[in-house]
Amino acid sequence: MNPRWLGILAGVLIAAVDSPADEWKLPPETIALKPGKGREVVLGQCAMCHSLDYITTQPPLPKAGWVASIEKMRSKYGAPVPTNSVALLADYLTEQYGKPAAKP
Amino acid sequence: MRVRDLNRRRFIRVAAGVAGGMAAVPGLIANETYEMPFENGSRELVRYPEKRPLIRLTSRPPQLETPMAVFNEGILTPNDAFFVRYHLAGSPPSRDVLTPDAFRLQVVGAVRKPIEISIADLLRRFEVTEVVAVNQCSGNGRGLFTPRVGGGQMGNGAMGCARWKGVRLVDVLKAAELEPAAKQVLFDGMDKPVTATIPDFVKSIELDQALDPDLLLATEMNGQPLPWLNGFPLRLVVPGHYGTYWIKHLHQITVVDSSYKGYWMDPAYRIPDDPCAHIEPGSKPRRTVPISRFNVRSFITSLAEGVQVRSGEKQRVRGIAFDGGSGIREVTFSDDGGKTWRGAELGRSEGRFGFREWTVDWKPAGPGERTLWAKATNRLGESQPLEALWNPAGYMRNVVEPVKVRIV
Ligand code: HEC
Repeated sequence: MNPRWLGILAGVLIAAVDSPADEWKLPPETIALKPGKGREVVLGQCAMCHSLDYITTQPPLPKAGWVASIEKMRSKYGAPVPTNSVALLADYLTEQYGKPAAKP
Repeated sequence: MRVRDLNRRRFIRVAAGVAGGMAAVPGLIANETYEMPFENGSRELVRYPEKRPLIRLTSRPPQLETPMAVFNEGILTPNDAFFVRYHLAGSPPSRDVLTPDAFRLQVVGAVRKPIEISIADLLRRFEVTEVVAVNQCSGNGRGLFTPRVGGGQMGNGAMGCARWKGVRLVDVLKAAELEPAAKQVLFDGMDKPVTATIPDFVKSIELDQALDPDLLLATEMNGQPLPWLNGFPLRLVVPGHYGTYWIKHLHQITVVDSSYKGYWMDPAYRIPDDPCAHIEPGSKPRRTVPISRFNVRSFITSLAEGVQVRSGEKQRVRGIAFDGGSGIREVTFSDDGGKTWRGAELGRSEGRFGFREWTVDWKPAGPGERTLWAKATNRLGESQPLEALWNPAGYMRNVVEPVKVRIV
């Protein structure tokens, strides 16, 4: 290899080792939502203020529990969720991460 | 992935960065998982800056839990294993705003002499002191509630005990010269909400409590500067009280002449106004008060749920106990589901706010399954219930925690 290139490569290596900024990086988010109707809406409405693991680690809530959670996001934290998306969001969350009501 | 060694980790990152032409980030390689003993309790073990791989509950903001085995390493929880709990997604604040040049603590409000001071000057101007104290999240053990409740689903690893070093809050408040109308003190850290609609994380403490010499403005834990994720460069330490008050990256102390009504004091972090914070499962509390002191807890740390032990082979069972600051008087141990109890031996005390180690000789008589229990009592005579208490926010769990082992 051309010694000049070796020098540059060594420089890159040293910069990488000594770069303190790199020491202070947070590992990436890894959570992926389960497929299902309404998933895109949750991705659009619920990932703005926190990672989606806030949602996926909840215990299996009944639909009323998910509706209450969405209402809390709107009233306490100002989540800009339009009223007409609440049902779709709650259905997806109940279906994928909740306790669907027993079939009659 | 388990790469402990810093040089090796650096090497991997350098190699990945050069080969892949991208910024290598620790944790990119598939993470190991950790199973919590409750439904939907599968978690990743992820390595964060200055931390060993910890149980990740959420990533933005980071919430990390300590694996139970760590508490068997000793009564001081290592900094690299200490739990992390943030609320606001803009957390932790970037390192740039926390450097000695950039960071200042302000004391403002109902004071005659407002203060703005660097960490170095804070440590020069005020007497430096230490306390060994447990920090515990209000919702530690929430995932174990039955019936389950919403909120952060942690096992029992959102606690830790450290030797905190810093200056007394009371000394700083006195130097600022409180006005006679002073009623409460507010604490704000540098972590900020990501939208203007989310309330900033500010906590209030009544003035008489703020003047208690036990409260510290800490710069170090366990002989090292605070880790970034535990509040570098300054955090409030409120011994005996839940972590919600231990504001991290503390940069503003405001003395007020009224009762603060912010969201994180009300309606958040409230417990039923009842001596044991307990109400009928599924019901709603009539009146609530801010959460404050720890109740009594104890854990068996030398034996994990489900392990095998040999019949007839004597061993020393070990654990920890703590309370809100009266100190632990007694720990008892049962290997028959609570029919008979034996006294354990208490280890050296590191002060009334720390973990207290306990040990007891035990000769497993088998074969079969056995449920081991440890139960602590504090100097006020308060102890732990055998049946879990319940409240809708999932706070203050302190039931006797069973450990089931298999004798072979
Ligand atoms: C405007 C910001 C914002 C948006 C948008 C938002 N949240 Fe949240 N959410 C928060 C905050 C703040 C918390 C509390 C974080 C903490 O204490 O760690 C939270 C916490 C949660 C929790 C944990 C339990 C709890 O109540 O603390 C769940 C579950 C949750 N959010 C679900 C959702 C869902 C579902 C959506 C989409 C409909 C959503 N969030 C959108 C701000 C938001």
